Amino acid sequence: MSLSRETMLELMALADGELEGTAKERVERLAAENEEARRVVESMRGPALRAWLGAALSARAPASDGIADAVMAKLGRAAGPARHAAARARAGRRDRWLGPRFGSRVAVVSALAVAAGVALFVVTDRMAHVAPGAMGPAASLAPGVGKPEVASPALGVEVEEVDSASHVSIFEIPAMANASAPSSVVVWIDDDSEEK
Amino acid sequence: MKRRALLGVLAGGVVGSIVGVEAWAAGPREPRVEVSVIHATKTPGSASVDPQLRDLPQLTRQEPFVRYNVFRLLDRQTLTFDKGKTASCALVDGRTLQVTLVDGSDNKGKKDERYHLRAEIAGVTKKEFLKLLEVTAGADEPFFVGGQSYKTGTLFLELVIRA
Repeated sequence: MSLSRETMLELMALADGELEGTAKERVERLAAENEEARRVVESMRGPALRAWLGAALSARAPASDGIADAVMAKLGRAAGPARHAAARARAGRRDRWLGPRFGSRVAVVSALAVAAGVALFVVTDRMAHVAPGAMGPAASLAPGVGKPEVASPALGVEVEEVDSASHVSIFEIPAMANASAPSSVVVWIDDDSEEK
Repeated sequence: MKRRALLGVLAGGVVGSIVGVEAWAAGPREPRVEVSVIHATKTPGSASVDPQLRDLPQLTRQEPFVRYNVFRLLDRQTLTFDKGKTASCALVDGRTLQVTLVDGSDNKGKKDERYHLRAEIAGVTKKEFLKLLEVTAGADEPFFVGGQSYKTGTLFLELVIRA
């Protein structure tokens, strides 16, 4: 296809009968002298070929120029009745949407919005409060002062360091059968002071 | 009437959405530490556990709780923290518990976030009962500090991080 975009548009305009005067004469002369231009004008009278031409133009300059849009707009004008039918169909769909059940549809959408909001709130709140269900291993005892000599549970409470002048024992309490009670630790400090 | 109902539903939707989005945007709240002061005694023939101590009945068969049979909640406080600051609470035996949430929790912002907590128990006179205790725990995982003598029994301090 060696014709320029402007020439193509003029040929299409000629095919659509939109040209008058000298412009019409000039393009008619071009179509008479140029074989490709003549075929374009002839092909414009067939809808399928118009569609092909639109696609070809679109492929030739995908996003750089507005040829495809221009062609399709022209095709749309040419296919007036079909376009009007589509518009009527759209209007019908809109009328059905805005019809007597419009209120209930809005209510459903609003209810979904409420549910989404509440769900978001609950999930966020739960994320802030959820308790890890990790359960620790069996209890062990590590009396003394300083870093406990016990193997810390993989999850659950881990005692990193204890420092006291008194005797210290650490009791690890394994998870109960009831999963709501996680494993725990008791740091026991013998109260040998006089403060009672 | 129908229009009013519709407006009501729409307003509910808007409010619900706003609440959800705000909760989402606010993110996790600052953690708090709940401190329960439990008095444990050995009273033959009268075992009881304060109903406010929901998890304790399952622990009473474990050392060192098994040494006692009466457990009573004396006090419960919730300590709130400014970042890196220490919160303290007075205990019934005159001592003071100081708790610090150390920066740098693991899995921050996740549901299994774990917190580093530092605790000290200072006496009114003389030496400190507990100079330092460092613990790593998740939210709602209780741990106990026991052994303080009090009124023919002992005190258990239950500490729970609430996220």
